[in-house]
This record gives sequence, structure tokens and C-alpha cells, in this order.
Amino acid sequence: MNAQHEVFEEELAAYALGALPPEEAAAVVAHLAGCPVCRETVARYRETATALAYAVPLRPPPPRLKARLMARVRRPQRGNWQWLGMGAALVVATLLLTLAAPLIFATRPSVAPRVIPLQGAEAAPDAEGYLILEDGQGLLVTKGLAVPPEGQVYQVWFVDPAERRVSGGTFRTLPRPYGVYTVTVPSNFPLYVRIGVTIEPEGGSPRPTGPQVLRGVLR
Amino acid sequence: MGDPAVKEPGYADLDDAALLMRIAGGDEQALAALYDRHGPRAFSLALRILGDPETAEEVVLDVFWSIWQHAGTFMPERSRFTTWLYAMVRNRAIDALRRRRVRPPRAYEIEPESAEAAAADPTVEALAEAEELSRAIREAMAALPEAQRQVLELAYFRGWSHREIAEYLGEPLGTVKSRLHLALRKLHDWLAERGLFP
Ligand SMILES: [Zn+2]
Repeated sequence: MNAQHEVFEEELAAYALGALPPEEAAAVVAHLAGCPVCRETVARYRETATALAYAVPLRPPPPRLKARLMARVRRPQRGNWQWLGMGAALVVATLLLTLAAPLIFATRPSVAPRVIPLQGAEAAPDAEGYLILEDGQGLLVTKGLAVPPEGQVYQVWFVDPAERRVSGGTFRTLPRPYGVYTVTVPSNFPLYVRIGVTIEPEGGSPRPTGPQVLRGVLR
Repeated sequence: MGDPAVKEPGYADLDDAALLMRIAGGDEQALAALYDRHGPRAFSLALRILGDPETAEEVVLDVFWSIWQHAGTFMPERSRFTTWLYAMVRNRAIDALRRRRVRPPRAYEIEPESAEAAAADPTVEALAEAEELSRAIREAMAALPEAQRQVLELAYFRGWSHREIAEYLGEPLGTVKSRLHLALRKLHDWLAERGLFP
């Protein structure tokens, strides 16, 4: 481990604990993008931070908690929109309308959009997202994804069963809690099994090189 | 005690990844088994952060509901399920703390576990490892200098940034940063020496 990583370790520890303000966290993410050594350190610190959960005295949860969980599970599922705050839900509704407008005007029966939840990955564990697919068009809604460092972008990947990746395009987030971006959906989309979003140099990469920020399962 | 908790036969033997695969396929019993295994600690963590059993209950319900909905998106090869689970519980509890301005619990000390709580756990092999980790982390925390333990607890259980901690303690930011780092590294080394990391 060289001296530069050593100096950086304090930042990594604070980052792993979620104790960095966003702009400092973004600087760490930028470094992580090109440094497997520090990525490894962050992973170890994260595991260590998790161990703190085991330092807490065990208190039995009230039995009704499990009963409530199982009752909710047995109810028919509603939409996938629980986490979306009102603001973002409105943005999405508006965009869905925009997407659906050509369908409405063409008086074709509108196909219900497919919504695929995405989960924060190692470089952005708190981020969340949804891929919304409608009539071959894709929209990506993100929550809690930091502005990428200067010279870097986010890139969307579709992964097939043989682990081959095809790019779904790049985007840059703005300093806002939510973002909505269009995604290039491959024409043979049903063949793909997973989606991922990674940090890449400006202009995008032919294949993923940076850490992952979001991921989801397509089928 | 003649009425042991109902156990789903077989499920207790499955590891987390196998349970998650079943949950992704809509298996309610698998979710019940995962809850039995990790629910008590998830609840205890939320309670430690929030100091309020009702909010802690909502947080845990919310997290396990997310697991039910998104089990398929968890990639077991990338990290341990418990790392993800407790990070999720912690994040949501801290969100709730900020949102509702719940007063966090004052105590810094790690209290002894009650025998009753320990006995409430299901008999799963994985629990032996959890017990060992629990003991080791308490020992490691107890071995930390008070000042280091304090910054670590403020960061982890209150979700404060290093700046907020520095302000609260009236210490320079650099001091807080280096204490956080030392504390985390000592915990890591302590656990690694005992073979408690994969
Ligand atoms: Zn580095």
C-alpha cells in the first residue's frame, strides 16, 4: 500500500461509515473508480461497520411485527412506488404520460409499463432506482445518486446470460435527490437478464471498468 | 415453554442466499425463516438507533417488506446479505431519526444482553457465528480508548458526519477523522485476527 492510499485511508473509513458530506463522498467515489486497492479497503471497512450491529444488546421484537409482515406479504401486491416521494412520483407520472402520448394519439391500446427496481451497489449503497420500460423505450429514475466527478459519467449496462454486456447509454446526474434519464434499450431486450450502472470516463466505455452504483434483475 | 416456536422444517438449514432465491420466487415461508433468523437483531439495531420501539418496528417491517419485493436484485456473490441488511436497517432508522426528530437514546455503553432475549433466537447454525461475532465486537469496543469509541458510536448509531461530530465534541475535524479511522481499523484487525471475516 503506497503513501497516497495511506493518507486517503481516513477518508475511506469515514466514507464506509457514511460520515462524509456529499462533496467529500463524491471525491472518494472518484478515487475508488480507479483504485482497486481502496475499493478493497472500503469493502473491509463496511464489513467492519456492519459488525457494530452485533454490538447492540438483543431485544426481542414484538410478536405482532412478524404477524404484520406476513399479513402484508399475503395481501395482493400493489405498485412498486412506495419509496417515491410525492415530487418524484409526479415527475414520473408526467414522463410516463409523455412517453405514452404517441400511443394515446394513435389510439392503440396502451401497454402497462414494466417497472424494474434497481438497488444501490457498492459505490452507492444508498442509491435506488427504477427502470421503466414501455413500448421498447426505457426511462431510468434514480434516487440518491451523487453527481459524478468531473470527467466521469454513469453508464447503463444490459447483461445477457453469458455475462456479455451491451451499453444502454451514459448520463450525468444533477445535484438533486431524484433524476430521470432515457435509456437505450437493446432491440433483443428479452434476452437480457440483468441491468447495472457503473461509473465510467466521459464518453462511456466499451465494457464496464468502474465500480457499480445500481443493479437490478430483469428476469 | 412446552410450546416451541413453529419452525418451518428445512428452511432453518438453508443459508441466506438460498432463502433469498426462494423469496424472489414468492416463497412466504422463506421470508418467515429469514425474518426469524435476522429479525431480532435488525429490530435491536433499529431500537438502539431510535430508542423508540414503535418506530423501530416500522423500520424493520419496511426493510423486510423491501426484501420481499426486491429479493431478486440482491447478488449474494458481491457481499454478505447481513452487510446489506444491517446497512439498510441503519440507514432507514437514521432517516426516521432525522425525519421525526426522535430523541436518540443517550447511553453510549453497551449493555449486557438479557438471557431471555438470547433464548428467543431460533436454533440456526449461523447463530453460533453471530454469537461469536457479537461477543468479539463487544470486546473490541470495550478495548477501544473511550474517545475513539465515542466518535465511532456517534457516526454509526446517530448517522452524524465527521463535521457534526467535531462540532458536538468541540474537537478539531482532523482529530475526529483520525479517531474514526483508528477505531474502525482496530475493530477490523480485532475481528480479522479472530477469523470473523470471510
Ligand atoms: Zn487508492
